[in-house]
Amino acid sequence: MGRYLVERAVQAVVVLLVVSTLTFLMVSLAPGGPEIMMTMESTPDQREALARQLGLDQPLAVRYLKWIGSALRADFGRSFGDRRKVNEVILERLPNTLLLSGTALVLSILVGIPAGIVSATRRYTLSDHTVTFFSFIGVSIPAFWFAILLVLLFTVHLSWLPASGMATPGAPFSLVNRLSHLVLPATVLATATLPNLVRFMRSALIEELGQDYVRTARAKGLPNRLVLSRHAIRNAMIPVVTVLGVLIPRLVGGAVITETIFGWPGMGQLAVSSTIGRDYPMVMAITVVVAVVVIVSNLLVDLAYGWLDPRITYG
Amino acid sequence: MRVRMFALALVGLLLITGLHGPAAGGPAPAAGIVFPIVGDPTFNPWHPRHFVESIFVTRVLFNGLTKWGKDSRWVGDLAESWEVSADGLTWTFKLRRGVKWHDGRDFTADDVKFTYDIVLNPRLGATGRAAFTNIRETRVVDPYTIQFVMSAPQASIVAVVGVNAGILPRHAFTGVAPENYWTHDAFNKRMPIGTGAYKMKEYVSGAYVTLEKNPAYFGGTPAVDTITFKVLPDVNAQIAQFLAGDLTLLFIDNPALVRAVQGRPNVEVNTLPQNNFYYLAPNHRNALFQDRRVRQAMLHAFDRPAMIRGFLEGFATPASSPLTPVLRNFFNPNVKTYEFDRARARQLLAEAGWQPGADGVLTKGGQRFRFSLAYPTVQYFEPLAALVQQYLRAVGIETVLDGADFNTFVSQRLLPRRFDGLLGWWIMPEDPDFFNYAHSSAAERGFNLPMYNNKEADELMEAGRRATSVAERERIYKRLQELMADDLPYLQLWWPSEIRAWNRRLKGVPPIHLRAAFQWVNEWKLE
Repeated sequence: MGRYLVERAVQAVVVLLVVSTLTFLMVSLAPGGPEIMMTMESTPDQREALARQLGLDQPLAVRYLKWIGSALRADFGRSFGDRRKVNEVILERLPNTLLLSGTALVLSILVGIPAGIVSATRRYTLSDHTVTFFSFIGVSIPAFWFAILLVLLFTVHLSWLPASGMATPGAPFSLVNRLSHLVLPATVLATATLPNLVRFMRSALIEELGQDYVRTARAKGLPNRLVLSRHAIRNAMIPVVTVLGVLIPRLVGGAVITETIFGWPGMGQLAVSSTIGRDYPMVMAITVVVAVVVIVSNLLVDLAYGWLDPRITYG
Repeated sequence: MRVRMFALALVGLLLITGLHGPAAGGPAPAAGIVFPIVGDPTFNPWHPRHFVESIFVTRVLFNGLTKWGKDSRWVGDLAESWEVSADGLTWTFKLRRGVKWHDGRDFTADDVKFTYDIVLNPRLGATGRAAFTNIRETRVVDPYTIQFVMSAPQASIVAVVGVNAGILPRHAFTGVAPENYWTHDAFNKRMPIGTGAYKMKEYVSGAYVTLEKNPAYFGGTPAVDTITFKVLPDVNAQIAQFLAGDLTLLFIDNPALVRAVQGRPNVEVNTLPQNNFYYLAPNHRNALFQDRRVRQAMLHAFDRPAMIRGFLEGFATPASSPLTPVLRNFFNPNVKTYEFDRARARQLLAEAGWQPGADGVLTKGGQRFRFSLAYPTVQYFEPLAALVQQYLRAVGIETVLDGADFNTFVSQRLLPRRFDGLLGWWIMPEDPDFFNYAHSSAAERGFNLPMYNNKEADELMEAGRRATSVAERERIYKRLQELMADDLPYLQLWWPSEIRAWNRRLKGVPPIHLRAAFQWVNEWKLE
């Protein structure tokens, strides 16, 4: 196990190096330059001064070595936009995204897995058809349209829920207020991820239920409830965990459309505005953060396999 | 693209659901004025990252030397009066006495000098610097008098010192080296200190900024306790929040969205002319456009009233020259105009030697009339470019569309002047000084994008800057408009209207464009 983890860590370092080098090259070679230099109203002397301030007058290789030198010390420099420290901005935005996507993920799991189980165990019944129907709607509905629909209904028409932000400006902290701001964006996000879980849970469980060991368990008189909970579901979880491993990094990268419509100050919004503004240090830092999350969640998924299926061992 | 899909979806939904219920356009926020901004603001008006998301906030936090008055002329703000020497090279501003910074310190001429030293320092690249390059230095005469020493006369300086030119407190930057001014987060991003009607109360990055009234404001204590700027990058979210009553007022950039808010109880939608023109800039160094008759023919080829009706929902006026009626006494209504007239366009092109070829595209000496049109894929430029292409095709001119995202557009097309024709817009200070936009000296490095070079126009623009009396300036700029209407440095398309919507509880907003109206925010009321 210990050796396995060391191997994975070495792999992770290599992956991070490759990802950061490629990203650095790609963002630096993209047409245009930092937004603060590229306004219609800027003059050549202004742009030259700013390029010098940002260190863009140096060759690409030097800039990359400087960047990697400070990145190794976990210092991602200052934004090319408002010049704040990149670390500070990321630390501000990351928790917001984690809150939103975490809520959405928990919602998806809490609803999606039971729904998948119901769908699989009562195949071709009304409940199965209902679950399938809503899964297809959920996976097909475009996030921006659904979001606006919810805002029109719950904010404009019914005045039940706030349409944007994380809290009411100026109001003292209150959990109810926070939660009310979370409902709509989390619902939109969960609607997109939930059907994946439902469908995977359903098909995996159906497959397990056809296995010999399930028939044996039933033959020895084990109640259906125990057959499911002790045997079939646990085995059916392996593909579901794989899907989760893919979903988690996607959620941390931020949900661009959802965050934009609901004015949620998260990573997705930041990633888009930094890319449009050619804020190289910010883009690099976001890439590294997301890459780390991908690596870690893949590792967790692999470890979970071993826990779910004792036949899988590491080392 | 995404924005347009959102817009269509929203308008469609509003029409389908017919939300004329009581909640629509409902109660205004109780907490004060709430206005949407599109991104995190920077609280230093000279910061290189001070763009449209910041200007509304800094116009309330800071004051400039002058501001655009409620009766559409320049009036004193931190300056009480000003005069210019006979040679036009020394401007003397008398400053208002008794003005206090938000932290209680006194405002003096030293602060003005400190601010303009930042602007004039070429190494800092302050935003908006281009407007001030004629100022050689500033001199403190006494604590309430400041002088601007010019390297060349510039009569428009009174306007220029009033546009996003907030004065900074020197004492907030003590101990900070000039090269660290832009990373001085304590001021730029957290706790700005201004002289304005409102002062910083609370800022949550990515969410909102709340300012509270400054009871010591020299223009009079504001009537409304707080003003909150909410960060809402998505225009549909802005409209939904406005309809839900969470926003007091907003700008409507896309005329197609007006229908979403119009006709609702409690909502007032109004429009104003602004000093802004949309244009097709022909590259005057390209042989295709050097004959004036070609440029005139192109302008005759557009049915601008129909484009404005169908495309801009009527929220614009066909432009007769780059200078707009907002300039009132400087505006010349009696200039050559170009009605939609394809026959006339073809005739002018024929006079210039262009004859239709086999496929209808004009040719001259074996050359086809074909050019590439650069434009940014923002606002409504994409459909506009397609429309321009169709209108020009109808008179035999072939256009190759060359759209790019804004950043690429600026760096790859606009700055290196790598285009045959270019679609764009200029929002200008309310002054007829058009020097920066069309003088031949601004062709390579300035804002003279079409690289226009006309001796008479150059002389007029220079004379306009030298002139010291209003009557003389009026005469010069009226002549300049005649010349530009005939010679067409830019093919001026239209002057867009500013579209604003606000909750009817909001009163006292002066009838000037909203950016300037924010500088009178202490007079706004919520009933």
